[in-house]
Amino acid sequence: MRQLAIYGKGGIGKSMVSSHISFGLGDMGLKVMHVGCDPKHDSTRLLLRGKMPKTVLDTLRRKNFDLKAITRDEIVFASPLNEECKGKIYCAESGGPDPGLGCGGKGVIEAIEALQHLNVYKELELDVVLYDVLGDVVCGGFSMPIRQGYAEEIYIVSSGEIEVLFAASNICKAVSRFANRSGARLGGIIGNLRELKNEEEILTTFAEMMGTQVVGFIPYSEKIKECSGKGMTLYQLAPDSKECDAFRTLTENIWNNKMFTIPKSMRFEDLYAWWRGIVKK
Amino acid sequence: MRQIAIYGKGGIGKSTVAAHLSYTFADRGMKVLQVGCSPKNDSTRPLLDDFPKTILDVLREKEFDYEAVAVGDVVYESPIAFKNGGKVCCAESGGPEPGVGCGGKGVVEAIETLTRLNVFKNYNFDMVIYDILGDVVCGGFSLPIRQGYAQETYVVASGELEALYQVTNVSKVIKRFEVRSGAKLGGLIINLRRVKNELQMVQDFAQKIGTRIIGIIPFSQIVKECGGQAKTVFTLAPESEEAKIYTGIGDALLANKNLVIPNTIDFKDLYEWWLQYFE
Repeated sequence: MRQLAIYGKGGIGKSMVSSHISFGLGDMGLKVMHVGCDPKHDSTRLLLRGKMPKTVLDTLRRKNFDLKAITRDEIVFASPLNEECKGKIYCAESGGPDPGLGCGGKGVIEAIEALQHLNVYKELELDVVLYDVLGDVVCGGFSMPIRQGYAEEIYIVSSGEIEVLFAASNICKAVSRFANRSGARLGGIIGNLRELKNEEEILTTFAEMMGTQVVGFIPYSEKIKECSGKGMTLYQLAPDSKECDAFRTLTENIWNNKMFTIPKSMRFEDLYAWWRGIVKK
Repeated sequence: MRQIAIYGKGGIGKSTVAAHLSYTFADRGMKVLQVGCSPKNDSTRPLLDDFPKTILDVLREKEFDYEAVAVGDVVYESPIAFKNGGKVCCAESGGPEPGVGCGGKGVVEAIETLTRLNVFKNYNFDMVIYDILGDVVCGGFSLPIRQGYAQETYVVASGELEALYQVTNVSKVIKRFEVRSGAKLGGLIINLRRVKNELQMVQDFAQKIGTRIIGIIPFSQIVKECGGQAKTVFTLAPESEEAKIYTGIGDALLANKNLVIPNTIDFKDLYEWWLQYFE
């Protein structure tokens, strides 16, 4: 079983991208578990026809954190899209703390532990688990899937915007910090284009500087924006579009990926100076 | 001394708004302190020539010996000259090492350090602006509201779902701590992002949570370009329409007396409501 984690700055399209990867992997005939690790708990909604499932943390709260009182069906939801793909897709959402209280990363840890406790991965005979993790604050909580070695392959969704690249470089730092202990490696950068000047060049060069590769580019597109409003992926909405093909290629590149590295990192000042140079060109 | 907090999801243009507010207030003759509370420490970049040392970095250097920290180590005056005796000073909280510790810790340390150094009292600031990352409204990042440092909170938002969700999170924090902190919501500052029916949507949204829109910033290449060069539009395009809009927002905020305890909305309800603008 492979375990992937998709990180990236909030709002960059992480959930959009990871839902398409999950469906793509399911479409290849694989058994996939998609775990949303964001307090907003909407990572899996494109896979659940716009519905948002109960979160692991909410269920745990209801049962006074008694793991024994929880069953698999309360926290793992089969995708209704399973009817139209060869494999199987399952969804879970970690949830998060009440706003203003406690630790934002706590839900991530609790969710993964609950899934482990229920032996979900083995019982469902999964081929791949995908964690979709908020990456703005790579604090102890949100880096948990990397630190504990749950996520073996890390992919970072990024555009060419400076704040987004900075978040990506911070995620790289977290990966390299825990690489030896956890075995986690960076699998590559997923370019989510935002109509920036020289953006593909920015992302390709950035990936090289971090000692990794770009595993796919997703074009800027109104069609993709529609997915969010309609609660489905492009595989349902526009299967023949070039955008959907971009996701197919991305999924294949990830599944066939052999390049796993311990990333380098950059200081923000240096990153910014380099970025200015390439944008000005 | 007025203290305001600017929240909003990462990448929404919070720091840009904060820097333009600081500039406008100083231009009106006020003494302003802008405190960047994001681990990225670039909130005050448009107001300074360089990246300032962050409070957390300075504390680490001094092994967390507060006595050894001087005001000049953590507070930097902007080189921009303002008329009427106005000035802007900047501080950046900094954040934890990636992957370790708590993301909100920098915010706590920053405010405590500034308080211990008597920065708020001794420097006669008229206005303090906290620019705070709002993606994770966990205990750390909500501190300025909880502890009542910032009596007025403004949220930068667009018609994007995530951006509106941050507003509802901040609203929940205000509501939860209002008795203890006295902090209230002052309004929304809208950064348009080319979402369908966006203007109508954000106006309806403001009404729904019981607040008002302080200003609306159109999607603009000029603002994008200024951001890329780390300057305000006042510096690079002082005659532009955008410069007038930012000044207008600053003035509207100064005049704002309409502080409320907002209504809260669950994400599920927000999502269903939001979807209808795409039909």
